[in-house]
Amino acid sequence: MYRLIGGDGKEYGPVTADQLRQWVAEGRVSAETRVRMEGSHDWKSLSAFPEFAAQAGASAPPSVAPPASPARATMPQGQISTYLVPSILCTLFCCLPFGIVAIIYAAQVGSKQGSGDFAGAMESSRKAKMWCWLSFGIGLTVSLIWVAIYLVAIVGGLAQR
Amino acid sequence: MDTVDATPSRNRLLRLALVAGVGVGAFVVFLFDPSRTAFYPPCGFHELTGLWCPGCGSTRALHQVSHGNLARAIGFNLAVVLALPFLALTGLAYLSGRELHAWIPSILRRPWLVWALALAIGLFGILRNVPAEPFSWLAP
Repeated sequence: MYRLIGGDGKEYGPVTADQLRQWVAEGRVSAETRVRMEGSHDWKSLSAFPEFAAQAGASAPPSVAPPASPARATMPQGQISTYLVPSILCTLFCCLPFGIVAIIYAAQVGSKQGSGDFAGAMESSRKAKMWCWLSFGIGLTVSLIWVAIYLVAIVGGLAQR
Repeated sequence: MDTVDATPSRNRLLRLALVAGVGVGAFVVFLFDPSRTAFYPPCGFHELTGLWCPGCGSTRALHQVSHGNLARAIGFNLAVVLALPFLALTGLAYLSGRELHAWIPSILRRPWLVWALALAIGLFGILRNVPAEPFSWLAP
C-alpha cells in the first residue's frame, strides 16, 4: 500500500499498487508525484519506485492536478496533453489541412475535460496526436523526396558537363 | 536503477534534438532566400489545388523575420509572424524546465481560447484565397 501527496498538497491513501498504476495511466499521477510506502517515512517521487518508473516515464504529462480522493475516483482531474503546439506547427509548416483537424481535436480536449468527459478528452487527445504525426510524416516524406530529387538533378547536371 | 534515469536522459536528448533542429533550420533559412532558391520543398496542398493553405509563404516569412524585415514577413504569412513569439515562448518554457512548462499549457487549456485559435487559423486559410482587395493582402 502507498500514500501520496496530491497537487493540492493533501495526503491521499493508503492505495494499492494497482490503483496507483491506474491513476498514472489516467494522467492523474505523474512521475514527479511524491509517494511513500505505507510504513516508510521518506517521500520519494514516483519515478524513484522501480515498480512504477517505466510506466510513469512512458506516460509523462506533467500533472499539476491533484489525484481526487478515492471517493471521487469517478471524476478524474488529471491533465491530458492537448497537442496544441504540435498541431499549430504542423498546420503552419507541413502545409496540410490535416493540421487543422489536429487543432480541432486539441480544442475538444479542453472542452470535454471541462465538462467532465474524461474518456472523451483522452480520445480527442489521442486523435490530435495521430493527426499531428500523420501531417508531420507526410510533410517530412514529401520534403525529403523533393530534396533528394533536387540533389539528383544537381549531380546529374554536374556529370553532364 | 537505469529505469529511473531513463526519463531525464531521454528528455535531454529530445531537447538537444530540438535545439539542433531549430538551429540548423534557422541557419539555412537565414542564408538562403526561399524566393530565389529552388531547393525548399513546395507546398503540396498548393501544388495539388492551386489554393493557398494557412502555411503557404511561412518559409519566406521566416527568412524575412531572420533579416529583421517584419513588414515583408507579414506580407508573406501573417499567421506565422503572429504565432512566432508564442511558439518561441513555448519552446523556451519546454527547455527551461517544469515550472514555466506547467504554467503555459494551463493558459492554453482554456477551451474558448483554443477554439478561437482553431477558428482564426481556419478563417485565415479561407480568406487569403479570396481574390479581392483587403483579403488578397493575406496571400503570400
